Amino acid sequence: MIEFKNVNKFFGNHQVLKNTNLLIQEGEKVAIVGPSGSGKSTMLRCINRLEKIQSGEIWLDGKRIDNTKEEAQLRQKVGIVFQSYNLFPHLKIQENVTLALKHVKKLSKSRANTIAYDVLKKVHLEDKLHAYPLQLSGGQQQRVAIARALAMDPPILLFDEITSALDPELIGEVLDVLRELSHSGKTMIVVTHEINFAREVSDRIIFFDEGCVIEEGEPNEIIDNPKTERVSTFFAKVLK
Amino acid sequence: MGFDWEPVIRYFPLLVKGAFFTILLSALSLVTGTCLGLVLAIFQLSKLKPLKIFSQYFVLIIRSIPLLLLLFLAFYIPPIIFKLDTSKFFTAWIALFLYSGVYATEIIRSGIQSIPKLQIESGLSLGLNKRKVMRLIVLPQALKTIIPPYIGLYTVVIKDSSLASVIGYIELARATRLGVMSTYRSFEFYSVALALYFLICYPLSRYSKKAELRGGQ
Repeated sequence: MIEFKNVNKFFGNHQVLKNTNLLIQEGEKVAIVGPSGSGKSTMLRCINRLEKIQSGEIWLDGKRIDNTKEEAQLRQKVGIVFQSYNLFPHLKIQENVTLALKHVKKLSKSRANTIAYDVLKKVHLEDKLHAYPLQLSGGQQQRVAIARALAMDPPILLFDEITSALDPELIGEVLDVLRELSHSGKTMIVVTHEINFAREVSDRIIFFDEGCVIEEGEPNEIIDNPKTERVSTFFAKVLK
Repeated sequence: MGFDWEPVIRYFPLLVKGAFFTILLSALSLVTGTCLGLVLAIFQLSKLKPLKIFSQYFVLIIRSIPLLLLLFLAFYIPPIIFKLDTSKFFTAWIALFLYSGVYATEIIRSGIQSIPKLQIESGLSLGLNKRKVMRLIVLPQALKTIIPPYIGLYTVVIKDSSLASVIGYIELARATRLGVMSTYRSFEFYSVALALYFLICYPLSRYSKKAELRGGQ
């Protein structure tokens, strides 16, 4: 369970999160939508402490994490996939996936390689083990990035606009992987502009604007019958 | 006017010995200078203000001193201030160590800074600590940007090590000069010395080209 209690976050004088309150249950699949610059990604990055908050509290499974000293342990529980894939270009696909298994989980090389094969199979790229990231298409790279996060077997997965940097024809293959993942029982928080995908896969949609949760609810309800003007104009524009 | 190569042949063992000491001095200076550069570069990128400022000023000051003066300082300061009687090799090494160290600092720092912040975040997100992110993700990638200018530094240090002859350290330039002074065959000696310097630097320059091509892939 992840909980935000009155979280405030500033970049200089600019307030990105304003008294944000949020509750996400274990195993829940939540889509975060809203206009660009509304603080969605920042909210996500607060969960694994890539961003520090100025006030408020963030709790994970009964432990306060916004001031934790055990960042590495937290980050093993929370996997993240970024918009720009961020694979390590100097390492082969297999090594990209096994790096943290070997150096964080301290697994043997053969054990790590077995896991790498398994997770790459899940994203249908087991034949690319020995390729380098730049030899792959954007969609393939993003799938490797998902596999890399999965390899650590975190109970929580964060996806930060992972299809936004992709060519339109490559978005489908990445969403397919997410769709399959949504049956894995992991907690998934997906920041996305793919409204139809959010409707199909998520248990709940949270609408973010100007650092606040404006509205939240079941996907069909919030998309088809939004309660606020702001949300209905947004969906009207996006779904046109 | 005819050439007479006999004196060069007679003095050739001395020249080879000089070349050997040129290589020894440069290699030791570069290896230790690299360590110094790595430490100072990491200081400069550190969040700790005192380390950062120390490194910045250290580089600034040493870089503004001509190598010749660094050699004189290294020659005179230890005996006068610390009452130390240092060897010529040690003196020459200290000067070249500082000299190559500060240039290495700038090359390494810019190489590290050329790695996008997202690479670091990616590593941290997987649970790697900062030191491992540096060692496994940042430095291996930075190396590609660092190698070509770094080999430039290698050749500069090899050539500039000839300045150590002014404090009496016998390396290739000094050995050549000794040969010239005893036999007056300046053209012959200097052309052989030139060839030897070229032979020392050439493999490095070749390697740099190769590394550059590989890095570009």
